[in-house]
Amino acid sequence: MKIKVKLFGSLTTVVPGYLPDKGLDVGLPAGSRAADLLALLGIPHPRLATLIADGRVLKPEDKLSSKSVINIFHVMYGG
Amino acid sequence: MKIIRVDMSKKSICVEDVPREYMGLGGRALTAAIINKEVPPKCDSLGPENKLIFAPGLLSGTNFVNTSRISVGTKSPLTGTIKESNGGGTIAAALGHLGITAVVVEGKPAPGEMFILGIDEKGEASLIKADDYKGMRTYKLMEKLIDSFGNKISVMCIGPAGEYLMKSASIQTSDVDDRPCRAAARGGVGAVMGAKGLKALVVDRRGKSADAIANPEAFKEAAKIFAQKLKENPFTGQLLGNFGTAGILAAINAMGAFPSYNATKGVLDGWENISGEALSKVMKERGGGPGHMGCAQCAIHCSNIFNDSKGKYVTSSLEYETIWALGGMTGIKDLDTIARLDFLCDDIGLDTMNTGVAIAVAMDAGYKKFGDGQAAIGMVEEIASGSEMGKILGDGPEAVGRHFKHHRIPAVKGQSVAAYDPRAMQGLGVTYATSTMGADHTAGNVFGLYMAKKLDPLKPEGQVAASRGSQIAMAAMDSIGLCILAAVALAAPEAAAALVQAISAKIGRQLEGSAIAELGVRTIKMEKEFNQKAGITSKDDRLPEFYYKEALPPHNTVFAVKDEELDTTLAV
Repeated sequence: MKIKVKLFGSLTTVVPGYLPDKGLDVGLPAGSRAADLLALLGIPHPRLATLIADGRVLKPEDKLSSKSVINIFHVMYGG
Repeated sequence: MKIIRVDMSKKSICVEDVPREYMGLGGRALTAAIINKEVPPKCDSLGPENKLIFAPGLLSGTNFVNTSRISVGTKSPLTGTIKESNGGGTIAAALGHLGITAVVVEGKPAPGEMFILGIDEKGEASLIKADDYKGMRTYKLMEKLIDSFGNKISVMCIGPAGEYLMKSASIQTSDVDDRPCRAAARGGVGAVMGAKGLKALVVDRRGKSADAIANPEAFKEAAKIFAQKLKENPFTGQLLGNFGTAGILAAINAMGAFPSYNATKGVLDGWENISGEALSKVMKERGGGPGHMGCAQCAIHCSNIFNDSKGKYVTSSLEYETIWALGGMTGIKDLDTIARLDFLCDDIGLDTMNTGVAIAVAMDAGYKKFGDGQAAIGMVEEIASGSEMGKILGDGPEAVGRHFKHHRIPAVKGQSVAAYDPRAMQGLGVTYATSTMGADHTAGNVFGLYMAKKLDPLKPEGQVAASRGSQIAMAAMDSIGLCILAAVALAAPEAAAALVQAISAKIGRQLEGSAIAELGVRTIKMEKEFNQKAGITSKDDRLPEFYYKEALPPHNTVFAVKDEELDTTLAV
């Protein structure tokens, strides 16, 4: 399946040539989970990464949907 | 270790050793203790019986990173509760270098009298008539103070809003570049300073009489470990330096929790225009940028410099909460306008959050249209003029709501909420409702728990415990003088141990790991005691009704934590 991914913060430099306005189109086997996407993209500190889709924070074991845009952040805190 | 007491009624100053009952306390814990013991709880917050206390944190003035935080404590004219408004800049370090534990301002001068309190490099304090500075905005004031006192000073000051005794008046404080762009913003502390007839506190930065550290080698080692862990954390080591606190704006919108158009939507259409990423790009293109060091001892550099399209300075430390209040809540999606509004608030001496939300309530009531940047600038200038409408706006969202008879007022105990909607982040609602000082995200922010997948932000379960834990931790950080952004490093056990070790090394007594939480609990207990004596009850610990009745898109949820659960939050 194809998934639209958007990277934020320092993660925008993880994928060479990443364009924030366009995001990424990533190919993954059907049934792939959040953790699989992090591994494929080579996100540093994957334990500190957060995926948000459709307003909800995904857990590593959550299955991905090709209908959703996956937003990826490093864990952040409010000050 | 000394306390400088300034009686504005008698124009007298005395210096005393820190009394035994206040020993070992700093920052918020110390202001809570002094207010609880010395201020009549039902006093007029703008009268002579109230006190205004400036207290650096326990570690301020040491070389422990990110400890130049100052607590400004008083009874708040905005909330009617005890208040600790926390600020950065350089003044906490300056006071620490002089071995000054607190400056306590008491009494009230005759109407029209205004003074500057100066503290020189030997720690000698004096009151200087400030007639020439009356009505002056803070940037110009800062220039004049440098002319008079030299360029090695740290300043806390008020602008016109504080002199007008407005409830959104801030106390601005100077950053490392001598700009009055940082603030102890919340709770109307600037109005208390105005009522005391104090235009500015000016402290020489060259003090060399800091309190001795009992075990300097152990302190140095602990400080080194903590700084290392701060650097290793992606949030404090990378994100904040590259994007500032606005780096979280995209995530809050992605979670549907960004209160927009006076809290009627959880996502701002076009938020990409005002995100941390957009801000960083614009600032770099114009010769300013993120990664600016705003506070003494800072290793994070979350501050920034925002220039206009010609490269001319507009404002500094343009933060997430400010962008939200002056942008998201008002529907203004233009960074230049938001930056201009931020500058005006700093210059006039206004809490950007209370002011932004006041403007949003006025817009929601039909006074002006959402998204009208020029109208927003006009409203802030109206505050500076001291007109009738300006006074209403300058007293914050509740005053504006009352004036327009508008029901949707996002405030608790008179103080505006922050940039996390309680219907989409229920734990923030618990903090807004139950904090000892009105809606205050810094009193106990649990957003990080949601990002870390430890708690579902939309469900009421677990939110009270999360808020409680965060409120205790933040009370402790505010007392230690550690920037709450730097407190993120405490997630690493080595950093937490290093902080305990540093405090132990400073005071010469080995503390247990539980000491930090105990400090937080002790602080909150003192604050609650004062509030109860002031007449604050659990009925005051509630969110406005609309949060329970008006569902917030896109999740279409309401605040769902039950009252009886809220009442257990700070049963510490």
